[in-house]
Amino acid sequence: MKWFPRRVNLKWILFFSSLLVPLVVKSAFVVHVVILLGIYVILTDALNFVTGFAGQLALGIAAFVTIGGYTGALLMLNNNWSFWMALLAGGVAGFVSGLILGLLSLRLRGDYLGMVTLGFSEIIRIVAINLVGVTRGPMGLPGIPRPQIFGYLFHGDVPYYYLLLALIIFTHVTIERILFSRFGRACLAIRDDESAAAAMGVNAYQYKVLAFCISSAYAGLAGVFYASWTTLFSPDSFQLVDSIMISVMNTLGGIGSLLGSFPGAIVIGSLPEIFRPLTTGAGIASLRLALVGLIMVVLLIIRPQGMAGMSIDPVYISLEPIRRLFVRDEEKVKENKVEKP
Amino acid sequence: MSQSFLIQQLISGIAIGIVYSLIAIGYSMVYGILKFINFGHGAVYMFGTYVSYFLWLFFINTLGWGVWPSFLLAISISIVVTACFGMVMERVAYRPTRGKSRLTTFMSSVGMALLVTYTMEFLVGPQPRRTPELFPGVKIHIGGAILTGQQVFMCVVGIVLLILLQLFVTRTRQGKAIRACSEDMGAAFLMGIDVNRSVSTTFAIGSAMAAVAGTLVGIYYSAVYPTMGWLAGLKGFICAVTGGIGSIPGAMLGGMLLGMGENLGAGLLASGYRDAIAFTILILVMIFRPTGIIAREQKSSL
Repeated sequence: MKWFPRRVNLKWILFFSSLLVPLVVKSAFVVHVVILLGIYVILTDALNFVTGFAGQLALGIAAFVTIGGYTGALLMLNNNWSFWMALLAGGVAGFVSGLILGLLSLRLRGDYLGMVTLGFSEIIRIVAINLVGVTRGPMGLPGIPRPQIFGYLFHGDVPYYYLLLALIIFTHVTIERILFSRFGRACLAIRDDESAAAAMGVNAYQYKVLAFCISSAYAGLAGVFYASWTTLFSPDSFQLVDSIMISVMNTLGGIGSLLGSFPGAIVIGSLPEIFRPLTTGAGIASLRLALVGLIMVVLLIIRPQGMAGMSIDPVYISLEPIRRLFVRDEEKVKENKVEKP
Repeated sequence: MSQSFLIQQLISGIAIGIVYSLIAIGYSMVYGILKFINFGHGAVYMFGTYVSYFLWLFFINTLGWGVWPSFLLAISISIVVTACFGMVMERVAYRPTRGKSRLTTFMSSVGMALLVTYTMEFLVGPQPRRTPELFPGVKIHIGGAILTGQQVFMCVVGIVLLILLQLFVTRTRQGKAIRACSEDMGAAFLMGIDVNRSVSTTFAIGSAMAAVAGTLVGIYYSAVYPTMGWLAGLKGFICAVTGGIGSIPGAMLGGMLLGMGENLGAGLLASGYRDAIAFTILILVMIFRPTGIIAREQKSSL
């Protein structure tokens, strides 16, 4: 039994179990909800990059999802771009708009930055509603094409699930790589003490703007994916309340943790589905948001570090109990003898 | 673009702007004393509006009173109830996080805003409700511009309340205590000032002002709905920041500037962009003059 590992990194468990989800879950509705949760995971990761690692409170992530979604959707509809090019373009659009807002606002700190980013997100929504000539206003853009790869057209939720999984893995791997690079360490230093970081020669403003851009680029990618998945994108697809909800997911999962986005997004995102049997119609949406608010307040008072804390270390799950099952009795006896001389 | 159009837009801008400054007071005073942005203020505004709206309708329809006596009684009760609500909110959500970072308190207030707004939406439903009219058909002509009675009423009520507030803060003992706390809370505590009481009073005043503002705006647009607090709260914040956060005359100035800017911009561009103008003003002020027009003499917290 030497070959059997004593412990396993949690991310491998997450990876293999998520590969199996569509095989185990047959209900189309559940797969649909899982995809929505996956989008929340990406957005929470994106927000976590700027809030958790660079320490800047941003509340306007919906703006970048909207910008990315519209860029991708319009390029696919009007210019016949393929989904993959549009995905890239959405990311670039998110990056560029993040650069513009970041350059303007990242000299501000704390709650002021939160309010300015929130205001920016409202401006984007209002512009999207009023630019009827381009965006068709509140009616939204219908009939956004689905992705195609080697002649295979994505239809149904299962192919989208795997596409999303690829995106989540891409997000996680790149964020982890960036975090352990020179740039990531500089961000963490800025979060912990900006003056000390500046004294060590870190140009805080530049790094903050770049972190903000990267976060916005992920949000733009998620926007294009969402547009193609629902085939409809409107100014109300992502708005103020969604930004705040993603912030709550991040807080619940743990601001500044690497894997915290999973528990955060899954708990908050699946709340409305839990309430579905209890109430009907519009009541669900209000009740869920009220509950999100309650969770937020209680969480900040009782456990402000969230579920996963601020850990960026890999999480290991011990396999000792499973190992014991396979170990023969004699070995157990031997082990006992060694332990008790 | 005639001259009367400009005057019309400016005067309606002032009327709505004074109401904005009533909302801004809540942000400004709380920021002055606790140094955090109370995002839940918009929800308090909505709460106060609903309290006075339901009481008003109750007095008119069930008890059969006239419009004005019911209005006055309803808004008085709403002021008291909302002030208590504001104090309870501070006690429940903000006091436990006071020792921690400002961001924790801010996020807690965001959670509170969600909780109050959507609990109300769950209870009363999301549809907008029409309010009764206070001045049906009253029009006043000033230099080619036409004002409604409601606009004049808003101006008068707003200015009276702001003057009373300024007198309270500068002339009374409790007002002095609040000013002392906002300058240095620790020192105020050492001098024997009851800090918690000052904070509660601040929240009570801000919430009472928000209740009045909400009721006036509800009648002005003849619409009361649960999510009305989001935008109104944000605009109140913009006024507070534009005028100089922590100062009462600043809040008034900011309110009028925002009201006029918004109305002019909406008239010149397109009415759909009205709210975008407010946020553009916010971003511009934040970039070029983050201390606001009337800056308080203290180290900037930005």
